[in-house]
Amino acid sequence: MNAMIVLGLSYLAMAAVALSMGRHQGQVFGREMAASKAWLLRIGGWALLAVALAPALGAWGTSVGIVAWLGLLTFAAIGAGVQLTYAARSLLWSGPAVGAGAALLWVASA
Amino acid sequence: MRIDGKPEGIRQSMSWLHTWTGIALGWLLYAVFFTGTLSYFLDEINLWMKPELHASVSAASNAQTAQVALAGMQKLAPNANVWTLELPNERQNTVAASWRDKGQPMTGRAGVKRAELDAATGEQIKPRETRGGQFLYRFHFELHSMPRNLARWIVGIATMFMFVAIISGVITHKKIFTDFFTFRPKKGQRSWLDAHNATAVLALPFHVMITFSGLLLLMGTLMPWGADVAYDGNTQAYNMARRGLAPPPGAQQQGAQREGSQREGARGDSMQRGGATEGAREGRGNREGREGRGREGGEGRGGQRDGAALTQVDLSAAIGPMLAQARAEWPQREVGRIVVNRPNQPGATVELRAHGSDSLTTRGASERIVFDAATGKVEERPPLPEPSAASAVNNVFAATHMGRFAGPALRWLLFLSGVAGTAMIATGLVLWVVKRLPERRKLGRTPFGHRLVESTNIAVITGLALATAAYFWLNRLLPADLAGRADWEINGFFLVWLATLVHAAVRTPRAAWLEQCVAVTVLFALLPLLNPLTGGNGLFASIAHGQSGLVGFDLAMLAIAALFAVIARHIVRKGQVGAKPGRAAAGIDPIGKALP
Repeated sequence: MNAMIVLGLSYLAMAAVALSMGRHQGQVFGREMAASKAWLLRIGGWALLAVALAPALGAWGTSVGIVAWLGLLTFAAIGAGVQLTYAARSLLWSGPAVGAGAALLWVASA
Repeated sequence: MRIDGKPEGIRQSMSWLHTWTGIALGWLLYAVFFTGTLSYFLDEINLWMKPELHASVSAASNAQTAQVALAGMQKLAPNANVWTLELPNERQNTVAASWRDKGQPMTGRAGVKRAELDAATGEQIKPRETRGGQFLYRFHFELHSMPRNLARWIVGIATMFMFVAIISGVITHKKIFTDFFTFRPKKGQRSWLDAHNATAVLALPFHVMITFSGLLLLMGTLMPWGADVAYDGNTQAYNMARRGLAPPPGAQQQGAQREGSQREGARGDSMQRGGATEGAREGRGNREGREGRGREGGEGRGGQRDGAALTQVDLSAAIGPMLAQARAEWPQREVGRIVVNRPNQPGATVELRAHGSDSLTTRGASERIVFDAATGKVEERPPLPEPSAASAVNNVFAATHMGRFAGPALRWLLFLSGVAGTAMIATGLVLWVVKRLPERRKLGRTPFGHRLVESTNIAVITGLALATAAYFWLNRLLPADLAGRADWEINGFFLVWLATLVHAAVRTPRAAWLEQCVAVTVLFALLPLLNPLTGGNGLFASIAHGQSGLVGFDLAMLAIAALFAVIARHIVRKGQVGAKPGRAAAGIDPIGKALP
């Protein structure tokens, strides 16, 4: 359950970070976006990654929590990366959907 | 030594050395990662490979299990000095009992006897003879059939190379962050490089953690001098001090006692020295030497208070209230272990220990309560150790490397990270070959060296998986009472591994890859079927009984089968696997490969 929350949040975060990169904007939108918007996505993505640490720490304590968070980040990033390769556009809705689901779970279990 | 036999200068010969040591270390690291990754399921593999234990289903409550187990111990070892009972948990079906008879040394491995007790009846179960997962686990840092320290040095050197490669790779690889999410399929060498980089970079925290902690765990072997000087070569005293414990009485004789226990591969001397210490993965069994010891040293503490009434405590009856009290104390945790000191003697004590812990800094130390066995009163609540900062860091790395803390979700996370690491090395090995394809085309033939690497790659990458599958199959196909069957399982493992090399040498690379992948897929996928047919609990039965250790094993095997099925399918579609990518120093320089 906690793993799902962390995984879902960091998946959305990774999607945002990916979409802040020119190459992946090309894959998804067919063109690059304005630098200011990309910058927002990047900051937002990194911030959300940091936020995802909170449920991990809450669930597992400091030492285990950090390890779990790092591990889950890895698989969130792999998921986003694979999706960019084979179904790039779907990231636009799957990212927010999964992220929102994780946030709901978090709120519900808090 | 050029493949075309032309004379060469010093640079060329160095290049040759660089290329070949690189690929050899890559093969070694692949084997280390493969077997090490499987070792995240060490307990599960041990359990699966002893199907006799599958019938043991835990009673509804811990108290019931503890009662029958204590009654069982009363029959089995009434004259022991200490009993240690590991209660069933999510990775273990039975009660793992161990004890030391009176007159036996109180520390070290010598003198420890073990038995598996049925969780429902307390009767001893005698499983088949097998090394189980311990063989794979040991292989991942001690290889096989060679002096232990030599093997540790070899693995340690390979680990150090990998660690250096990771750090330098991250620093030198300029595009590490822009390429972060990039995978470009169907582009030959480019795709292999992308896959190699992606598995390296995305799982970077894992790679850094696993190599660095691997070095820490081998620290005592690689750099024993500090402990030698400061503790006069008494490695046990060193390790006790490192963990903040007082040295046990009689620690000096340790060395001698341990000599005899080499075979069990034991965490004897050099493992202690290795700093991996304390039975880490083997969890049960190794620790009671230390932990059950508590105060049992003084055999006759209450000795003068004679009288049968005092000495004959009915532990089965007394344990219930103690467990209830422990549960009230740690509402979040089950009781994981019961240690009875001086059973059937005056001054007997019962120590309960919680299962699991919240922190990595204490190396998985968990809370304890000690009861007076006769009165049921709490005698002591030993505080958790508070490690120094340096110890805490060491403990965090060691515990993470070994996944000791991990519940099922985290265990799978570590396992999958290990799979990513294994894939990183495999793609690096393949890159070595792919990168040289243009050279081959230019020559119009395949140089012997290239062919050699290509065949060995196959035998290492798919061959090791095949040998592992064979090891599991032999566990069930060899008669349970065959003399020396544990050795035959291991012999079978190596024979099959050798056969895959021969196979890879005689078949074309594409055929060899495909055939071995298919064989691996089939053998792993059928393990969950073989299991119930040869006396184990099948997936549905183990789910029904809540035996999550067995469920975990079956799922892990199906995951491996699925992975190789994907590879096989890819080979079939691709139609030209001769073009498997390869890059020289796969193991050495896994990330730097992508340098522009």
